[in-house]
Amino acid sequence: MKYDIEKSFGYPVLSTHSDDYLKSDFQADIEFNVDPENPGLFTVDYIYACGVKEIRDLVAKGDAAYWLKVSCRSTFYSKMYEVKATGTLKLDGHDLRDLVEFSGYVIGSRDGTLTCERINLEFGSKTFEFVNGQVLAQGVPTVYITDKEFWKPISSIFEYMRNSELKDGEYTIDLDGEKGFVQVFANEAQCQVFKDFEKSKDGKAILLNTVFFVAVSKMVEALVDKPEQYADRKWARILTAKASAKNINIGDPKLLIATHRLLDRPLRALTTTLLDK
Amino acid sequence: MNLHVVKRGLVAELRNKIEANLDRYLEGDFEDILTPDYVISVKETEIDLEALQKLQPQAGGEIDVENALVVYGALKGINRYLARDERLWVWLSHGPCLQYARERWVAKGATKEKQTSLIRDHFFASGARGFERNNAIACLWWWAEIVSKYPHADLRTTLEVFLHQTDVRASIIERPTSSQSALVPLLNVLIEKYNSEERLTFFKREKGNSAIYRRWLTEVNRYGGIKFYEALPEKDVTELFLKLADLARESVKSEAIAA
Repeated sequence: MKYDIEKSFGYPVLSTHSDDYLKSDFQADIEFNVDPENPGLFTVDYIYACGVKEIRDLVAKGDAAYWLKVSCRSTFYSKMYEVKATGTLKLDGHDLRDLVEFSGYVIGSRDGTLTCERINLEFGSKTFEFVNGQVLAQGVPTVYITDKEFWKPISSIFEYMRNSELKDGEYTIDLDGEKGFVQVFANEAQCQVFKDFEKSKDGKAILLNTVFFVAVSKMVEALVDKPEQYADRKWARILTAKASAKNINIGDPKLLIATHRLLDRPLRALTTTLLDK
Repeated sequence: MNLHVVKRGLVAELRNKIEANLDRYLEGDFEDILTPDYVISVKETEIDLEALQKLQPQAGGEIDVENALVVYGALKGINRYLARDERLWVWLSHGPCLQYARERWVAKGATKEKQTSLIRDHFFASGARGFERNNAIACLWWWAEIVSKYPHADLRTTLEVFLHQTDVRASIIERPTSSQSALVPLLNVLIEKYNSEERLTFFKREKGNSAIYRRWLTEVNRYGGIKFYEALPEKDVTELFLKLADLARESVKSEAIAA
């Protein structure tokens, strides 16, 4: 069942983007993280907030229940979990890849009737009948990236590509590379220098302030200027998710600030490295 | 022997040099490239090279069933996360399964452009369809994996029904409702129809939406827009799907009479 803010079910469904119920809302807050005790697992913390007492009463009586749907198109994973209003779920990381979507619902557990004064007059009645399996409330889906790359440093979205026409010290950046990675082109020797840099703390500080800083600036700029062209690329999804996790506004007019923060202020790392010497 | 993945840089290089490597694809091999410098062994996996020799390059639903069983049995320790990694399938298509992939997919008499395009499609795996439909080996594994969780029949029987017609398989895989949310009840109905006298009419190929199975799948998907199949008992969903199949048959019949 796809979430669609334009969709009408033909009967009242409590949701953030509909006025089927007046001045009422249903929210499912989902937090998704790698399990700190077992990196092969993900934990999903959820909290449901249902603004209509009559629906909460149905749940309390067992006539309806909270459900959490977890789906991942890449691995054909799709499961519905009957849950309490708050709790934690553990998912096997081997079942998920790329994007995973979490959606909260209240669903009828048996046939019944719901009466509520807040039901919009457009439905012509304050009472309606529902059947087992029918959606009564729907939360806005939350999408997370499960890719192991996401949990690695931001540098993992780059790949080095050889271009023998470039001279030592030169590099170019291509945001349109295959598989959604950002490709850094340099000659063979320069690519090797980059790879060697990755192996040491000092080298990483240099890379962050040169190649990665320039590249991330270009990526942020591309996402702001041409979201329709770039938003679905793998690097864009990872960058956006990282920004969201760090409360960084990619659309911030101070583009450089977003870049500094996405890379955890790389100049600070370089300064520390130089001062240590 | 463990399964291996090709390093990412090599995937990109192979993809960029299909034309330059055309001779290798048609008659040679990549043994000098798939060396420990460029491939990584995957722990806790195993490949049965002897079993893979049984892959048959002919096209057709029955052969697809046999090949899917061969691949699913020969590659051990794969989980869905790994199975979504292009590097694994590039290694298999260019290494242990090169002979099969070449004979099945690269037409010898075709133009260079056509051959390059076929190789790009079937030796690599880009996007969702790259895994489920295009890559010579990945699609076989995924077909078996998708239906392997069906609890009421053995894998061979389920694969026979699932793969006997390309359009049926594609229609199921490409719809999230049928491939993810309601696969078991859906297969309940498909197997029942496949084993009944209705088989010839239910699966009859027609243009557009006048094939009964296609109209039925459309209805299953439509109902999935308001009802949560996963929140209902399997028996109830199967009954609903059987009713929808009856409705689809009746509506196609009435349209045919009206025409």
